Amino acid sequence: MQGIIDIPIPSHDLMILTLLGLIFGGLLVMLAGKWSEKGAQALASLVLLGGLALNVFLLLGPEVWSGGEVLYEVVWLGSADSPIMNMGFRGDGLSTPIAILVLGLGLFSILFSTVYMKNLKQPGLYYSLMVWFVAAMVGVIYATDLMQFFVFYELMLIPAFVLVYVYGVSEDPVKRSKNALQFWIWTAAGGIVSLFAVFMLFGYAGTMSISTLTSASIPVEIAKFIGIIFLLGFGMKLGLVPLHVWAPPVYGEAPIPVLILLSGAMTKTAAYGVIRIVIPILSEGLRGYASGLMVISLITMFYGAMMAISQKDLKMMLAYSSISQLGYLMFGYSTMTSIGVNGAAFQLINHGILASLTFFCAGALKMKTGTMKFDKLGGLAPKMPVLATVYIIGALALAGTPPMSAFVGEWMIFAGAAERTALAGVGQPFYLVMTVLAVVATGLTAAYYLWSIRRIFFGQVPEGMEDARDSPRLILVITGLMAFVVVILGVWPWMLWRFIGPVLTGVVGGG
Amino acid sequence: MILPLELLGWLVFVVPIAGALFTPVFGKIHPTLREVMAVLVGFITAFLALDMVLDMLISPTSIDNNLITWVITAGIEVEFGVLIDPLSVLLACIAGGIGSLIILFSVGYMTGHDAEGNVVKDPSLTRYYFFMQFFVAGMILLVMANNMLMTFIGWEIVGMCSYALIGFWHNLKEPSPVPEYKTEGEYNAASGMKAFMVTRVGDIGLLAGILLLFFITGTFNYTEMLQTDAWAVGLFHLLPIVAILIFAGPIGKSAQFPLHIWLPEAMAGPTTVSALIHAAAMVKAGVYLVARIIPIFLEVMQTVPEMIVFFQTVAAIGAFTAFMAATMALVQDEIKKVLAYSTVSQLGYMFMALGATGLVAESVSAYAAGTFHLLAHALFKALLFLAAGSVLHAVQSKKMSDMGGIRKDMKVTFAAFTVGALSLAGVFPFVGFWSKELIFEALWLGGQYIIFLIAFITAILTAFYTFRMVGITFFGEKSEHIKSLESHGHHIHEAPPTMTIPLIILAVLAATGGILEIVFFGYFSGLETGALTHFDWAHLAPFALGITTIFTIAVWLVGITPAYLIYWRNKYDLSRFKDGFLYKFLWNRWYINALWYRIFVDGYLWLSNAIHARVESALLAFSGALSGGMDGVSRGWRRTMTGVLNTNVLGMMVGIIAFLLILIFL
Repeated sequence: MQGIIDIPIPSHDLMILTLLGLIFGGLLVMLAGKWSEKGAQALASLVLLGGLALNVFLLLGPEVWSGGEVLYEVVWLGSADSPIMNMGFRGDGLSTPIAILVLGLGLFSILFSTVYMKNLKQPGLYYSLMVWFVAAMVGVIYATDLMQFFVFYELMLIPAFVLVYVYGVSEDPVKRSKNALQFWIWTAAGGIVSLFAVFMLFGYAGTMSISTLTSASIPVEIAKFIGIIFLLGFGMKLGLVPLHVWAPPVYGEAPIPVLILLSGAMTKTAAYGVIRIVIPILSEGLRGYASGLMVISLITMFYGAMMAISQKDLKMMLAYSSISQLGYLMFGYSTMTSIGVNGAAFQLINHGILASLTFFCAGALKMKTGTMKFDKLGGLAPKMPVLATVYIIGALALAGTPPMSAFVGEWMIFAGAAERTALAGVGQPFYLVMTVLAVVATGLTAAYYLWSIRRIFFGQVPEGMEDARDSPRLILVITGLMAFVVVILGVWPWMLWRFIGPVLTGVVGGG
Repeated sequence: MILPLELLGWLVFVVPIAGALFTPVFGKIHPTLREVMAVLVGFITAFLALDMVLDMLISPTSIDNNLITWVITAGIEVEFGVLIDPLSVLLACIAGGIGSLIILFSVGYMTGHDAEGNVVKDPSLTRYYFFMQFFVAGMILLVMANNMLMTFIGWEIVGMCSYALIGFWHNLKEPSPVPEYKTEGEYNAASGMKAFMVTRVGDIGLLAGILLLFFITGTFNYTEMLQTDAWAVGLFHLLPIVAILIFAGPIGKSAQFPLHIWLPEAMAGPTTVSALIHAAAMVKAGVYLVARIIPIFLEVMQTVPEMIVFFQTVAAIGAFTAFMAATMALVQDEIKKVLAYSTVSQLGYMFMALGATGLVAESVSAYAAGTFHLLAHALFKALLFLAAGSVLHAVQSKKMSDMGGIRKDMKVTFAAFTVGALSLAGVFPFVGFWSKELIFEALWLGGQYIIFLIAFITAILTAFYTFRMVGITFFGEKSEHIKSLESHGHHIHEAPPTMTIPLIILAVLAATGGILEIVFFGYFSGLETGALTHFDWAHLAPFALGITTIFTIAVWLVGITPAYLIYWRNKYDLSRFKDGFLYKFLWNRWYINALWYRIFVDGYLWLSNAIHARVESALLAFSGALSGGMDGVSRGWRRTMTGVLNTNVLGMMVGIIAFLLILIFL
């Protein structure tokens, strides 16, 4: 096994260190915040940077680089020879890139907060919650055991909830609490519903270890039942229409850096759950739902796109866009083909980057112009050339334009549907129609993104914005870096394929 | 010849991509360096493409050079490679050669003068040169690609660049030419978006078609597709649908009915961009793709007779579009709009011929006609656009009614424009004559009399509107606009050499291009491998004249004479028709544009807003009411539990966690 670099410590320690570093780092940030806001910022950034570096080492290390996995488990409950529950860390070609995504987004949103979140009350609390939020998500991603997965899955709601409630954009605390609570109720409910499925699985298979369950044979009827409960739970978190109702209020309420973690990272943990737990364990049972799930995903894609184009405000447009894009992921899963699931996994990472990129742009715009309403903006491209370029790259990418990254994920997702069509054979127009309709969704995406570009950056500058200039350098560097990654991944998708592909081989059983 | 062919196949698009990427760097150093480099990159690209053409002329061959194969998952491989054969090399040469002339022309064209006569450079020229080079690169990537997925990538890059370039002047403050927008900048931006969106509609079909075809053939690669024994035979009856889905892409990109509506608005960009879109790149992409897949589909038709639907669709859409666009061109006032509709119409000719390959016995003559017309059209349309740009640059107006009587002031431009016009009208011995003759012949001898009739009528209309345009622009009295310009001391004068040199080169090519026909046939007939050997090229006789030549002569007489009498001699006054229904019908583009806009833009927005107002709001209100109940609980707690940081809610969460922990440990 050959990696890019050799690490002097055992690879699994990297993961343990990351998680511990984030948990204790969060505490230190809280303490540092008591004395100095700057200190809290610096410490939080350092903690996340450290976590990021550790995971990059993990990715380039011999195991993950050559398509293997790093596994470390301790018995949490039960005796060593017949464990009921384990606590473990799994680093492979799927979890490590997603962990890097989450840590990277966390780092960027903290850096973004240092210029964006002005007059922060209790900065220590804010930054430590951000760090803990990331910590919980990382815990979800490393999980080797269903119970561990869901403990972290629920834990991440605490910082998320407090961040929305305390730092929400509404002046009125009642409104803030209402939006935050709504978010919490829906996503917690989603978690609990999934947890119910976990217990059922435990009841049948007697274990909660994900890898053991994958090879366990679960009767199809039962797998079907458990599968639908799981999908309901993850569907709530993903915000599939009509379970998306929690998303618009909380996306509207959350400040941009928190929103990035919610939409760019948190929803991805649910998508990760589907790919890590539901599909491998229950693929036989799920086949019966493939067409239904496909329809739901398609409705989500179309509904999100239609709501996005009817928004008057950039932030809300992006929020609905995010809902619509998660429909693509689910569509990829629902094809139950190897290429579709691969595409969805690729798109999972892409959308995390792209959604955050566009939200960062919205935040930067708000900082300089004081508004995100379309009818108050216009003609800003010559005033903010860098930001305009970055936003346009992000928008075109989300609309599925090569050579940007999202195109790669999207064609793979649609190829999954095309493979379904081919497998169904002649005389089965259902999948053919699904394939074409799914591609139509990219057209609708292009419509609202291009219209937003036109309304924000082209035409005449409205009065009072003649002096608008490009954002602070830090934001330009962050967004520029992300745009660069988007282009690189689009030109050289092998960078990600080479990690994801081996992990997902055989995940859909033949396919 | 000078470089190995495999290397050339890569360099020819890598060089302009690199050129585009370095443009911002050079722009930072010095604006002139940026322009010199852009021109240099253009000519290097043209040189590389020409070198490939020479190789092909000496020894025609077909090379599939694959650089990388990525295996995504079992059975699904993505290739990154080039296919070098006469067709791809020809297109690369058109894109690179004409592209380079257009970039050279840009140096003069994108420079203006202010009131004091100082040179004014457009401030965002870095963006301009970046996208121009990227545009050429995307087009060449599209044609050189050895697989459909890579072609699609180039295809979309071209679309993206067209979006950026059509909307290039997005912040102009002058009033908009149409009442829907406030300023010209907004109109330009909207036009760019329209081009991108409308072509996107076609791309939806194309992408779905490519992916479906992949699962039928098991490959994206053009060469491998020809080995039809590997195909999934059980799925053959899906092929006609898949083929028509794929054809949706060319319909959009090559502006055929019903997606032709974007092309006239695409004139909002700088004239150089229009020339690039119409002559060298973009609209030719659709024709190329159809020409590329036709040999494959002809092969398939031997086992699946239903494939004929595809060829019928292509021919019918081509014929209808050719006629429709020619009628629209009759009434236009903007010189570039006339040229735009004429492009749509001429592309229709190409599709007529290509569609006929599956309908006539002598498929090679139809195929040769379609591809040769592609080359001919590239030459004379680039010439016409650049000459029109030269006029626009001098007259400072887009409208023909603002021109008139300038033939003496701009002799080179006038001569060049006339050569282009004669070629477009199909007059002997210009290149357009030969290519149109080939199309006529293929249709007539193949017994496709209905399509032939449409082609014939369209040719008459073409000759008429072309000479109407020449008459109004260069002959007659000088317009009020020019008189007022001249009274302000701005005399109409010939363009600088950077603009006239490309004109002269293109004019010579358009005048003598007919000779290329023999070269062209020889070029294909020497092939021994590859998709194009499907056709029996040796069977073709160059410079064949026959019964159809009589029709061509009839076209000159019936088409050009009235235009001469009406617009040069002013014998008849047609202005009374301006209130008639026919004029309005043509002026409003058969109302197709308005109808599509009403359905797909207004209708879609209306539906979205309605769902937003009724469904989404109701859902959110319902969910809000649910949590509102919970909020009451939380407020109740707040009264009892004082806490700065909403301890109550935190407490609730701690409770949940505790609950979970108890569940876990007990």
